[in-house]
Amino acid sequence: MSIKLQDVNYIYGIGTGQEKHALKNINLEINDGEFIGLAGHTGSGKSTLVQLLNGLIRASSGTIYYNGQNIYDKLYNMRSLRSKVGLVFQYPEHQLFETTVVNDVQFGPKNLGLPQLEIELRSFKALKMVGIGDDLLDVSPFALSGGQKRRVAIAGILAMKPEVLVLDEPVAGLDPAGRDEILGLLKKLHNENNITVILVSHSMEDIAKYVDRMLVMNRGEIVLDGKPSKIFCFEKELEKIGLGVPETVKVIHRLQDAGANIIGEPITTEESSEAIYRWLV
Amino acid sequence: MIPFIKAESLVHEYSRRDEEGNITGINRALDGIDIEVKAGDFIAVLGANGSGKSTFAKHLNALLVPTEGTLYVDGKDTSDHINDLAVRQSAGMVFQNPDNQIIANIVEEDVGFGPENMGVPTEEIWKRVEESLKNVGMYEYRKESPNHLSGGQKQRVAIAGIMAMKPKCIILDEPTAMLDPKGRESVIKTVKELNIHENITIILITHYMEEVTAADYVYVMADGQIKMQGTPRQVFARSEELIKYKLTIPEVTKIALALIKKGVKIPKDILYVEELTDILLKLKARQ
Repeated sequence: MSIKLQDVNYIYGIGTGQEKHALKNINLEINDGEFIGLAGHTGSGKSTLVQLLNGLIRASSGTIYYNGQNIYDKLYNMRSLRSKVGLVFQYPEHQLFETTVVNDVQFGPKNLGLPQLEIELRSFKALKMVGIGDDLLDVSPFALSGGQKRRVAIAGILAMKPEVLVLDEPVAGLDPAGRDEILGLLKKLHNENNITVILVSHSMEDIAKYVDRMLVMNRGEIVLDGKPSKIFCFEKELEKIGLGVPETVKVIHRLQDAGANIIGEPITTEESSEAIYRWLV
Repeated sequence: MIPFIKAESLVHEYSRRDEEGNITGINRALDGIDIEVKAGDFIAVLGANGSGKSTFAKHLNALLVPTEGTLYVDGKDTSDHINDLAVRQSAGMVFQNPDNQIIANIVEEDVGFGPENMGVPTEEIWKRVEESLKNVGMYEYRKESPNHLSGGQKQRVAIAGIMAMKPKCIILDEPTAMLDPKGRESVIKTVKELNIHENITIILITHYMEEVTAADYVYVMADGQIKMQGTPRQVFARSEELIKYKLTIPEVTKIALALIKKGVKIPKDILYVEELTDILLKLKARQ
């Protein structure tokens, strides 16, 4: 299973005289079970790209294949694509609206027209996956904390049984404990349920800690694609396009620039302190 | 000297109401806050979601008034509504989402909106608009539509809009939560410069540890109380307590602590990249 984009272009406002070429010749293959970090400054095309993936918007040119099938094919079931590729928007808790937590999570599966038993099974399972206990099922979602609300919103998407989960800045505005909670949850979903995760993030620290493959966008193009440890070698280039590297990587680069013989490409705090220690003693 | 901000046993209670409007419960968001901020200080307030830090910010701007205790801003009691306007002119507020704060179609008109409402003469308004946009490094964008700006640029325009009202103090409530790394850096740099060059008192409310290192003094809030205070160095040296309050320490400090655990002799209050690398290189050279 995979998502494949072939020569995809997206232009906003065609024919209005204010055209904006938001995506330029994107060629990308996302494989089953990958944990991908998507980075890029505001306006680089990240959000446009993720909206293409579940068919919310249609490419101006080019083709997208989901599991080998062209999603722009006349006979393709776009509705099923939207449940297979779950999109969690920024501040998803703003979209909570039901009177109880469990009703909110059931809204998606209900719209799929599933039998009541299946709806209930799916919603209980999704809430369990995100760690919302039974004591909160009948509580108003608005009475929950920021981190809890966000987990309920994610459960609403999980209840659709997506194969791919795309999250746009899922930890924006959360405190450090809340960030770890959500990102740890994603890692767990990825490991235990083999869900493909695409994490859109401004935080290089989070990308360093969690993802296997990193995509960097600039001006509508994918300019870097690879393991975070390799991509963070391009510190100057990343800074030029409004991003940067984690503080830990800065420490390693400064030491290396001063002649320190530090081996490997450590990126997390654990890896970095280990590498520095080996060099020191 | 009279402190610019002085909170004494400040308490704020939100009451929960049922559908008929009867009070069903009380939520103590601020529970006996004592803070003194001198004019010209750069203060950071650190706290997890729900710790009460935004409620405190709203008090500084007289958007909320104390349930108990007192709060003086620029010598004025905020609980007296007669002072509302004066308090808001002394202490301007910048919020998290730049899109909710920008109202005009052109950058310079947006910045001029505040002083215009205060009845400042037109000529003076334009002078202030120019000055504040230059202060935040956005003067070259004065004729643009705010829609064409990045998040960081919009947030700097919002700060310019506050500056044009000539406040003595700016309160920023998580101003960088929605920004990319470059935008975040530009906002913090701007705030620091306003503090140093214009002597504006800064209250920065955040949960990004790296931003706190720009402040002179840090208060850590949890459960509506001040749990810790000190210079960034003093506060970040107490990592276990911070983690207990759902916070953390900067990445650089984490590396230093991990090295100390392995037996490397370095201070445990290191905050900056260059600081750590200098110490490590010196240590290596001595071997």
